[in-house]
Parts: sequence; C-alpha cells; structure tokens
Amino acid sequence: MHAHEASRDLSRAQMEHSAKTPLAKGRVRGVGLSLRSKHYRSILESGADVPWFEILADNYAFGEGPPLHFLERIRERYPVVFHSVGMSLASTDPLNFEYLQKMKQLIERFQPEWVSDHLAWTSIDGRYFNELLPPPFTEESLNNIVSNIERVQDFLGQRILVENASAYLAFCSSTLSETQFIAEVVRRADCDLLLDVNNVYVNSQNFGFDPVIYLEAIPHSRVRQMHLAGYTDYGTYLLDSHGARVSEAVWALYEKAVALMPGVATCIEWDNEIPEFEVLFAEMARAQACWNRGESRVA
Amino acid sequence: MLHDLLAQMGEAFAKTPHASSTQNRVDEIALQKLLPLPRLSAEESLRVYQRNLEGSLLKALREIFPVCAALVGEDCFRTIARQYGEAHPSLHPDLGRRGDAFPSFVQMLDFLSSVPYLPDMARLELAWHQAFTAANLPPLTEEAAKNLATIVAQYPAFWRFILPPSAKCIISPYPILQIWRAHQRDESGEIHLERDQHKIESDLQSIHFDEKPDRLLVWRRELALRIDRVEPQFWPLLTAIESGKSIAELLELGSETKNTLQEEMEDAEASDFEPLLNWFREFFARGWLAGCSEIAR
Repeated sequence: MHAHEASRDLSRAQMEHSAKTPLAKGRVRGVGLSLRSKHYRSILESGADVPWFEILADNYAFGEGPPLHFLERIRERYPVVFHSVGMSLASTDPLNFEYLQKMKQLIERFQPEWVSDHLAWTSIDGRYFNELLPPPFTEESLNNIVSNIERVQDFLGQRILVENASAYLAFCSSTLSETQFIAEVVRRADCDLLLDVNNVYVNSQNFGFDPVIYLEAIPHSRVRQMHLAGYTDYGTYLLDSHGARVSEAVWALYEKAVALMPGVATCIEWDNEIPEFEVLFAEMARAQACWNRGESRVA
Repeated sequence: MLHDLLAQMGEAFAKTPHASSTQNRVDEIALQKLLPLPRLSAEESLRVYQRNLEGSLLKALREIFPVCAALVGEDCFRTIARQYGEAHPSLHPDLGRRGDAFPSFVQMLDFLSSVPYLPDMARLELAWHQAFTAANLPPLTEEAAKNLATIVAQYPAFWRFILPPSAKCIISPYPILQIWRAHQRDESGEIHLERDQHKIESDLQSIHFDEKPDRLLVWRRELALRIDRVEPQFWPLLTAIESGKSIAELLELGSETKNTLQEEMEDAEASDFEPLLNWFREFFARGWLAGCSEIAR
C-alpha cells in the first residue's frame, strides 16, 4: 500500500467516526480477498459481498491517517485475518520486538481471526531486504525457525500460521525436502500452516517435483488457510509475482487441495498491477465454486 | 554456520544483477552454496533474487517519488535507485520508510546537476508521503485555543505551539509546487504517470523559473493531504514553531519585525502579544496549529 492510492478528501464527519466502533462478528469461512487500498472506496460504497478480508498488517502497523481510517471502516463490516511479511522467522537475527509490538497493538485493535507470516527471512545482521528469502532445509535452520516461531507465539499470545514461500534457488546444504521441513516446523513449533497453492505450483515447476505429492505430504490438519495468486512465466522459471489472474494449472491444483483439505478458508492475493475490484471479485467467485465442491464432497 | 550462510547470501542478493560473477567475489562465495535447478543455473538463481530486490526497491521509491521519477526518466531513476540501495541499505522492516534518505542522497549526485530542483522535489514528495500516515491530531478548536491562551500567556518561556504531526515546511528557490502540480492527475493530488506527456511538457514550459521562492507547508487536515503556500511574512514564525521554539522566543522574533507587523495589522495594539496573536489567529484559522505543549523545565 502506498500514499498515492487512497483518498485525500474525506469529510470531517468521516474522520471523527469513533475508533471504538464495534467489530464485525462472524467466522472467517469460504473465500476472501486480500485488501488493497485501491479498492477501499469500491468495497465501502458497494458493500461488497466478500466474506472476509486478509489485511497485510505491515501496511497499517507504522502509521495512522487514511489507511487506519479505512481499515476501521472495513473492520466494522467484515471479519479479517492478518498477514505479515516482516517477522523474518527464518533469520538468525534477534526477533525485532519493536516490530512485533506494533503488530500486537494492531492485533488488539482489530482482532483478526488469526495472524500469519512466512517460512522465510527478510533481514540479516540488521539489514532488511523487503523480500521473502528462502532458508536452507537443514536441522540447524529448522531449530532456528522453530525457536523464533515459538517466541513470536508467546509474545503475541496466540498460535500463528506460517506460509510456504516461493523459491528460485536450492542450497547445497539442505538435507530435508520442503515438505519434510514444513511438517517438522509445524509439529515442533505447534503452529498452523498457510498453504499457498500458487507457491506450491511455482516451486514444483522451478524445482521439478510433483505438486500433488507435495499436497499429500503436508500435515492437512494444520492447514488453516490457503492462498491463490498469479505467477509470471519467465521461460526458465516461474515468478510468484502476484500480478496476474490465477493460472489454469493452479486452479487445477486448488481443486485437488480442496478435495484433500475441504473447508479451509482461502484468500485471493493480488499485489502488483492491481486490477479493478470486479476482476478480483470474479476470481473470488471462481475460487468459491471450487471451495463449495470440496465442501459438498465431504457432505 | 547458518548465520554465515544467510549473511553471505544477503550480501550477494543485494548486489546489482548486472555485475559479472566471474569478477565478483561476493557472487562466487554465494554460488558455492547453491545447486542448479532443472532450468536455472545457480548463477541464474542468484540473478533472480538480485533482480527481485532491485525491483522491489525501485517500486518502493517510484511510489514515494513519482514526480522525481517522471522528471529524470525511467533509466536515470533506476540508476539513482541502484546507487541509493547500495549507499543506504534498509535498516527497518517498514517499506514506507525506504525513501527517508533519498532527498539528501540525490542532492549529492553530480550527474543530476541539470535538474537542480530534484532534491527539493524529493523533499516535497517525501513530506507528502510521510504526511499520509502521520499521527492524527486534529486542529485546535476555538474553545481549546482560548483556554490554552490563558495558560500560555502566563508562562511563555515554558510553552510552545505545535503544528499537526503531518506538517513539514519546505522552501525551495525553484517553483516546485507548479512542477509537482503539472504531474498530478487532478486537484485531489492523485499522481498520474500515464498522463499525456505533451500536456505535462506544456505545463512545465509555462513555469517561470525566475519566480519567487516556494515556501510550502505540506500537511494533512484530517484525511485530506494539502500543500499550502506560505506567505513570506509568515515563514519565520511558522518555521520557528516547527523547530520547537518557545512562545517567549516567538515573541522576540515577533518584536524584531514588529514595525512590519504593525504596518500589516491595522488593529495592532501596543501589547507585545497583540501582533503575534493576530498571526496566530491566522494560523489557527488555516488549521496549522494543533495545540501547545509544555517544554520540559
């Protein structure tokens, strides 16, 4: 989110709306959307029929003004979950408790149903890369990330979800497969999993594995949310760009995912080249149809 | 061991993707840690991350400084961003703070001497960006102002006025506000880089660079971002308030220019406070004053 996307001319009456307005009740269920500042007005003016929104908490943790104003209005109407990119769970740096404190304050204020971050590192030696970087799949890396997740969960007072990240490199030192690593992280840290189906597909193409075997190997009972997004094909690799529609291959994989793990809340992510709200809404509707088929198989 | 690996990879990721790996020791060390993928060599893997990091920095800076980017063009802005990334690594998880040192950095770049107003434009855009997420503090109400005035008048050395948290005073010898406005989509301040280039050039050609300096206040009134022109007579006082001067110091500043003030204020009285009060009434009416705070004794 950035400054130039949002409104600058709201009335005093809107601004003076109490910060202690009631929060929307209800479960996070079915298919929701990742909230983008470009769509604030469309959502609020149309009362968009979206079951819930995923909030990129980093965009709201460090300031006030219009972003928080709109988030309050959205939260009055919709259940939300928080997603973040700055915990740097796979780094060997000390956890950034200033950042975590900001997250905690935001959590207390907006009461998301859950909070997630990534199985990745974004900083080392105090330097931030603002990019999700992959860890090696080793025992040392496993211990490190488990320890960090446990401390984050203790600090936030809740179990968090960790997301499988996309990757474009393989470390010589890795001794575990990605699914072995994830299963052990979840088991040892007693955390939940955010399964990014697009990342599974992107990695399957980049690393040459069967994405269905991947889906079968992860701990299904721990998957609490899924992500769908678009990738960009650069010929020799797929990039998890979040700047396009969900590909047909990923839709097919999502059908398999909902068959294996029916009823898991799913979010459409779209961060770059963000389209009009109607395009996102159509993606959500398609995902909801898949989600319903998964549910009906169980029924 | 894990730390060393991540540190080595981080150093390699942060390098420019166009450097030749054979001449680059940092890349060589990182490449020794990597395996090739089915369709990507280890070197190509490294390049993907280098491009991603460069791209995310460029995107962040372009979002904060869209007019600067438009003024120098895509290739030049990419070069600036690359050099900035190397000189100023990010030390904070908030991507919104990534451009904090950008205005002072572009001021140091000799190759931008043909665009002398670029550093001031960067300052203006950074102030605009920062005002967007600054803390909320509504302007003083009339009643609150009266109550405060009573207290403050008794102890002027121990009190100071405060501007809205979003407020930033910017002075430039160049007509940066006109240049900035020429790049806006509309009056609301939406940036529109796809705008007709001929229209932008036409607008820019109409700007006279020999005009008086721009004295600007960038701030946010509730949710609305604003850039107000500040009249020359208000500038010393406004910047003194911004720098945290006590009200007693403002009075001294006011008395230095008292004669000027009395000429301007027809109803000016003999009281030391009166000229300043007139000015503060004006500031108050414009919403520039958010309150007073006590100075720690």
